Amino acid sequence: MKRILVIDDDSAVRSTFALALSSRGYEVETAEDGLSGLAAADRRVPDLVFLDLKMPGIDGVETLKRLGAAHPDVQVYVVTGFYAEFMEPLRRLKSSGIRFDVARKPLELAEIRAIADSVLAGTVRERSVALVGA
Amino acid sequence: MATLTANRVALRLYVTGQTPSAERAKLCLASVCDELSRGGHWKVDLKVIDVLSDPESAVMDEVFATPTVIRVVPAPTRRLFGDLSSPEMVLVGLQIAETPVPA
Repeated sequence: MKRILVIDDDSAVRSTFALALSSRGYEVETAEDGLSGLAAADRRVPDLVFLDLKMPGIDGVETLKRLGAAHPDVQVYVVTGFYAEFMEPLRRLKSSGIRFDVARKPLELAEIRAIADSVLAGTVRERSVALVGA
Repeated sequence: MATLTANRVALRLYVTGQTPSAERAKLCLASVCDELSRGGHWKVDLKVIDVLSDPESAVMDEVFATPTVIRVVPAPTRRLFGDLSSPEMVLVGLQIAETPVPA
């Protein structure tokens, strides 16, 4: 079973991801901050990580930096608002060789599933059609 | 009846830097552009946009994650998200071949 790690300080967001992904047959683990997320990844390397950017303690950028150093092959989606101020630190990380994709916050259930399916099952979705009821 | 004049196709590919998925999508879209241009019915314009450099465009185009390719022209707009590595699947998903060539 493919394993997905969700790192977000908002319990409602963690619950939404868990609901969307577990009903799809994925094993989901959640973490409420960067350090516990990194510990979870070290215990068992996930196939996919959804990572919040703004968290107390070490933020998403620092978490991503450490995650990328420890597990460079793990696919990571940084979930964030698409604003220039949030992109600047991510650009710096990208230029240092850390690999990740981005997703816009907030994500709908179908969008969460579409991302997981694309990474873990190689699917393609036409947004206005296939995502409806997915 | 179709004319011999090439009609315009405008595509926007949204990526996050140079990830493996972004590189696969770029190669795939280059192949899609070649395929569409062959025969002279379509003149294809592909714009690659890095969300990290231009997040505002991603918001305007309602992109929820990368990689996403958007058919802007011909209307209606179509958005494809996911594993954009198969030119055949992307061509089918974008439905350009099925779009009537304006007379």
